[in-house]
Amino acid sequence: MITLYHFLVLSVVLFCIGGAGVLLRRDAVTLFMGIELMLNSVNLAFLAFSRLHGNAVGQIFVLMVIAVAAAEAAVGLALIILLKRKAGTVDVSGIRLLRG
Amino acid sequence: MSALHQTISSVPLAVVVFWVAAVLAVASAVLVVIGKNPVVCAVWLIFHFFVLAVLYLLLGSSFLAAVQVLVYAGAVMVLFLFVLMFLRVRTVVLEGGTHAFWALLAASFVLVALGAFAIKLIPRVQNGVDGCPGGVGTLMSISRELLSRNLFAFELISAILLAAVVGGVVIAKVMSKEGEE
Repeated sequence: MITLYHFLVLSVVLFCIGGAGVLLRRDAVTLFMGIELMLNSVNLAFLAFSRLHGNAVGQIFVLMVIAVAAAEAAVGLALIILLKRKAGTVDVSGIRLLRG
Repeated sequence: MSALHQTISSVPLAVVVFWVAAVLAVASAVLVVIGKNPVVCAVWLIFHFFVLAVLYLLLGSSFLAAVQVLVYAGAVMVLFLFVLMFLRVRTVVLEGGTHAFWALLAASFVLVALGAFAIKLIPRVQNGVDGCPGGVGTLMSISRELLSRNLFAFELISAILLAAVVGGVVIAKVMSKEGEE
């Protein structure tokens, strides 16, 4: 038997794995992948609640999250390419461009 | 009985599918995080998105499962792989030493805090919720909701996507200008 509890715990675990990815990785591209993992775990929680309440607004919200994540990926990856051009690396711990 | 423990599905096959999908989702997420080659990470992330689509189907969200595969596993990951090929990122980029310890500590703190929230707090605030009527994830119910009460948000999303497109073009233009110099 599957309950909301199962989906929420799975969502929390996936969110933390994504968060650990963001904290552990140093190259900007896989750091972005961690952010995508976190966004998707939140979507899962949204859909579980939407199913529980029988309310379609949760589904709408997930649709919005997916659209914003797509925009974020497009702009973010363009910035990463620019960063590679400017700093010669995508290693976020080695970038000191804003220090002046 | 609290809402938290209300059954979403008790069909035996659905239970099996949930557990298989849950294990695969966690395993592929871990492989994305610990993988040494970013391209392999990206492929595991695509696999992860497919597994999540299965979980969405299990929750009755057939439309969003399709969107997940089309937009995430399709468009977004193609973008990721394109950038990875473009940058030729091959290095091992796991943070080592004390930093990794603190990062894992922070992640486990979040895990404990959110887990406690999921276990303790939610039944308290969600008591007395009706059961789980199906059919909210169908294309018909979503589009009815999207194009009536949420029309403004829907239009706003198009503005955000347009802004992202313009932003990408501007950044690319800056790049090509610098390339000429």
